[in-house]
Amino acid sequence: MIKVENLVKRYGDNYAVNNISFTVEKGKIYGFLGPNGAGKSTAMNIITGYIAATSGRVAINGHDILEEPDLARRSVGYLPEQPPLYLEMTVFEYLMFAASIKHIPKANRRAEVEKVMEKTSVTHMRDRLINHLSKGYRQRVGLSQALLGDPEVIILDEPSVGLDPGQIIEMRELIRGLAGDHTVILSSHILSEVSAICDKVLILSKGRLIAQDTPENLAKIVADYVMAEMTLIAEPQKVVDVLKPLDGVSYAVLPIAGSDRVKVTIRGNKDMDVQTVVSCALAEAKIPVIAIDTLAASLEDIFLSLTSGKLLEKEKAKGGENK
Amino acid sequence: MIAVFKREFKSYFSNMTGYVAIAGTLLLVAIYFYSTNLTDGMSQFEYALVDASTFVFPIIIPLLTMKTFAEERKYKSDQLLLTSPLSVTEIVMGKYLGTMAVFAVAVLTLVPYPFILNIMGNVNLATAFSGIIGYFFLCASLSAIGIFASSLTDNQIIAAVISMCTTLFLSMIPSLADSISTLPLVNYGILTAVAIALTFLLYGLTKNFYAAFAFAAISEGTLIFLYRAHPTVLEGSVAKILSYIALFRRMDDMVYGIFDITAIVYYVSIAALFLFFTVQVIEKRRWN
Repeated sequence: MIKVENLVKRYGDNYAVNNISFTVEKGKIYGFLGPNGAGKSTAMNIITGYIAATSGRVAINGHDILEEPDLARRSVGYLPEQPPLYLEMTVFEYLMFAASIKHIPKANRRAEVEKVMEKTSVTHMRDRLINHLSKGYRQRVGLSQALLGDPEVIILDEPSVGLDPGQIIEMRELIRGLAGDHTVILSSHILSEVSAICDKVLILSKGRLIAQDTPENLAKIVADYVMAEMTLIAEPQKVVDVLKPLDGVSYAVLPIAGSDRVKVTIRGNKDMDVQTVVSCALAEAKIPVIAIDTLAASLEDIFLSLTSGKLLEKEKAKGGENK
Repeated sequence: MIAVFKREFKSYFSNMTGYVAIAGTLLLVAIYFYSTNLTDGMSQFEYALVDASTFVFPIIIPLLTMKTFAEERKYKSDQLLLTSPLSVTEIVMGKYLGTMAVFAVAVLTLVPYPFILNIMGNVNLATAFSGIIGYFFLCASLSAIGIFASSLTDNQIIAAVISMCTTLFLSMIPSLADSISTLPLVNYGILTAVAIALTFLLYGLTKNFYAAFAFAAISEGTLIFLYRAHPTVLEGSVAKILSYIALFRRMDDMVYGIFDITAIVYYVSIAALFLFFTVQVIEKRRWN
């Protein structure tokens, strides 16, 4: 569907996108995840042909975005970071204009515009000037524009920015509804969003693609330890005395103010059953355990550990070996 | 392209710009019409038009062209156009024709003047309309320059200043050319200064030291050679070069009744050249 090979975009000595390659399969939802300035928008601008890469190539349905721009762009709908709107037009006028520059046949234009307005629920705003719309509605009009003509590939740069919580849920449902018939690439710096919608996550940091996998598989990468949180009834000092002799267990003890309980966070290696070891030891010392919560590695952890450069170095070392 | 054209044309009338441009043209031309034709009693409307044009164009051209590409970039709406299946040439042509359509409306408002004068006496309608046609084609090449200026920046004010200065400079060329000495040494000095300026411009655009250096060496070498060996070639050369880019002078000929088809071709070529430059600037920006 989309093939991106060794994409590099350099501004002076600065690499906005540094050697990114990936393939996008039909009907799935892909998420670009990364902190601000990671190169998400730049990558999307290159894929849609708004800017050209310093080197590397992008092919959509086998058509190179720069060599056959006309054919390649026909199958792409794009919502950039800032919706590309003309403020002096009404919603309907704008969408009719967008439909005509996308070469949608004149006979179908009106029906097509009505359809996308229905999908993004902006029909009741059709005769308002875009200038008078709120950020959320502008975002939706921008999305309508990207959906015009039912393009096979839909690329959305931070689609839920500026939407209220209700609208964000609507937007997610809408995007999930697009999968199957359409291939969607979206970008976000909000982890829960990406893990909730996407089939596959591509993590970008400082212009590099540092990981790409399903959200579940990514969780396994960083989970080289197990963490749990326990609530106990005991004196903090007594808990420390019990936990101190245990091998391979690190811990933090925090008394809960105004009660006789303490909160303990424990951490052990992946291959040991840290919860069993700790709770047995506590049982021996007759310390009652009120609650145990396993803390699974969340996308947050993955994200932080990846983007902070720890895993990046690991990957680099691996790459070095391969060479 | 037609969609871009329609949108562009409509956008001028969804705010004040189009109306102000047309009203401004009417007002300025009317002032000259009053003094030249009504007060001084001349029957040639084209004289009023040619005098008014040196004031109308530096105001109207920037007003109508400054937003064309600068505003699109500022509000990022160019992302819609540039990622659509349209080619950049189609986008530029659509916008240019949209702007020209507004100018055409402004020019149409001038058509009644010769007829009004004709009621009061004998008017040579042929020269009057030759002048109006010349005015329109001059406008066609100036607005291409204005659109080019707009494509250079995302700041409308800067675009307006560039096209205003260019238009003013072009309108001053005839008197400027007359005031420059024809002495070879003076001409050599001016051309050297231009060569140095172009060298810096070339270096600024390409960042290629060798290309800029080669350009400077070749141009300056040629100038020194000409000055030493054939100083007569340099005699009055600046004035000659200026006459090639004297856009306003071609209109003067049409006003004096010489309906010169080469003048039309000249104006259309200048317009085509600057539209080509505009396409290049936008294409090049993808790569920066």
